[in-house]
Amino acid sequence: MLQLTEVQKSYKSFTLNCTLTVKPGQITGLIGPNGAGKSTAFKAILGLISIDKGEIKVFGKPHGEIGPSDREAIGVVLAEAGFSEYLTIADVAAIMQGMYRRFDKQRFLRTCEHFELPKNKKIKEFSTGMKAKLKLLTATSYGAKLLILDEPTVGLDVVVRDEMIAMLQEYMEADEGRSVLISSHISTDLEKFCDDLYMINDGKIVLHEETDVLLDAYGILKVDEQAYAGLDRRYILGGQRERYGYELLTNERQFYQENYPQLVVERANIDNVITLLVKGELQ
Amino acid sequence: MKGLFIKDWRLLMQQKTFFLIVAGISVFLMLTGQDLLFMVSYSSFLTVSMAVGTISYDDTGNGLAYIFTWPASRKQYVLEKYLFAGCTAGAVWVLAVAAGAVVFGMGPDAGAGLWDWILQSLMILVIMTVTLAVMIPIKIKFGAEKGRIVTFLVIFAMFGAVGLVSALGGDTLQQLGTAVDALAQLPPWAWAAFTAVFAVALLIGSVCISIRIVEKKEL
Repeated sequence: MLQLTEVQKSYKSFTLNCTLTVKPGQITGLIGPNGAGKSTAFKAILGLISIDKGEIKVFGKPHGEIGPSDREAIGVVLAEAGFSEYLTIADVAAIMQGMYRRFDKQRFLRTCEHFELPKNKKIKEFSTGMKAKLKLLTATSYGAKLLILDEPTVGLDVVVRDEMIAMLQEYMEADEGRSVLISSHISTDLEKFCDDLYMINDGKIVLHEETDVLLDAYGILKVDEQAYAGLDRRYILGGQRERYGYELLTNERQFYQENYPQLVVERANIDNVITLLVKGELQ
Repeated sequence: MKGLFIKDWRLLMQQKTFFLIVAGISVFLMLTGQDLLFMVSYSSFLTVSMAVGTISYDDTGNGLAYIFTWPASRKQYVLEKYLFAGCTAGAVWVLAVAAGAVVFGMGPDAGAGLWDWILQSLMILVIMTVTLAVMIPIKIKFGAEKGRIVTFLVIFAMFGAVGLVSALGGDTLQQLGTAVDALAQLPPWAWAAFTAVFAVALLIGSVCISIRIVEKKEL
C-alpha cells in the first residue's frame, strides 16, 4: 500500500532517513518525540516536499506517477493544515463534492451533525477539538483506501478521542483492504488502534514492532547496581539510571522473568519504550 | 478542478458585502453622470484583486499543504487561479461595460463617444490582464504577508496607470500614440491589437512562471 525505501531529506540541522511499509489492511503507527521527523516523513509521502534520495511508492506506483485518481483514494489529516477557517461545513461539503467523485455529502453532513459540528458556523469559531473532528471526518468521507493521519486526535478530550478511534476502527472494518498510517502523541490511542508501530528519533527509525509483540514481549526491568552487574544484557535495548540503580527496556520480558525471578519485571507500554529507547542514557 | 473553483467562489463570497458596496458606488457613479471609465476600472480591478486574494486565503495557516493533497495537480491549481480571476473579473468588466453602454445610449451624446469609450474600456481590460499576470506569481511566490505589500505596490502602480489613461481624456489612444512615434503611426485598432497581444504574451509567461514557482514550493 505504502512503501518508503531509504528516503532521505536533509535540512541544515536535521536529516530524515526513513524506511517504512504500510501493508494492505494494516494500521501502522509512527511515534516519536517532537522534532523526530514524523511530520517530515508525512510531507514526503504526500509529495509536499521533495526528497534527496530513496523511493516512495504509493499503491505500488512511484511518487511521480501518482495521479488525481490515486489521490482520490488517499485521505489526509495534517496536524497544522486544513480548510480555510473562513469557510463553513456547508462550504466544505460543496468543495469536497466538487473534488472527490466518491464523496457522500449526505453521510458527511449527518456525521458532522452527530459529532455536534454546526453546519453554518465558520471553522475559525470552532474549538480545537471540533477542528480535529472535522479534519478526520473529511478524510474519511470519500472511501479512501489509504489514510495518512498526522496527529488526528490532538486537542480532543478522552471521550471524543475514543469516539474518533471507534469511528476509525469502523472505517477499517467496512473494507478490509483499507490501510492507515497514523502519528500521535497519545500513546494509548496507538496501543488500542495500531497493528504495528515504527518509532522515529532524530530522523531515523529506531524500532519497528508489532503492537501485540511490543505489549506482550517487551518489559521493564528495575535493577540495582549489583543485579545490573550480573545481568545477561543480550536482550536489553536501552535504559536509564535511577536512584535505586537502573530502569531497563527488554524485548524478552519472559526470559528475565524465568531466569531472574528475584528481579522486578513489568510489562512495557509505548511511553516506557519511547522514554527508555529514545531518551535513555544506556543504548 | 471543479472543487478548486467552488472553494475560490465560496472564499470570494466572504467579501459579498464589499462587492455590494462596490456595486452601489458604481450605480451611484452612473446615475450621477460621473466618469464611466473610472467605474469600469474601479469595479474590475477590485474584482481582480479579490479573486487573486484567494491565494492568500489558501496560504493562511499552511492551507496550501492541505490543498496539494487533493486530487488536483499543482499545475491545475495555478491554471484554476488564472481562470477563476479571469472569469470573475471578466464578468464584472462585461457588466460594467454593458451598464455604461446603456447609460451612453440614454445620454444626449448617444452614439457619438460610444466607440471611443468602448476602446478605452478595452484598454482597461488589457491593463486588467497585465495586473492579473503580475499579481498571481507575486502572491504565489511571496505568500499572504509579503505578497500583500508587494501586491499593494503593484495595484497602486496600476491604478496610477488607469488614472493616467482616464485623465488623458476622450482621445486617449491618439495622445498615447503621439508619445511613442512608432505607435502613433498605427491606427487605433492596430494599437489595441498590439497591446492585446502584448498582454496575452505576458499572461502566458506569467502562467509558466507561476507553475514553476508552485512546483518548486516546499511545504
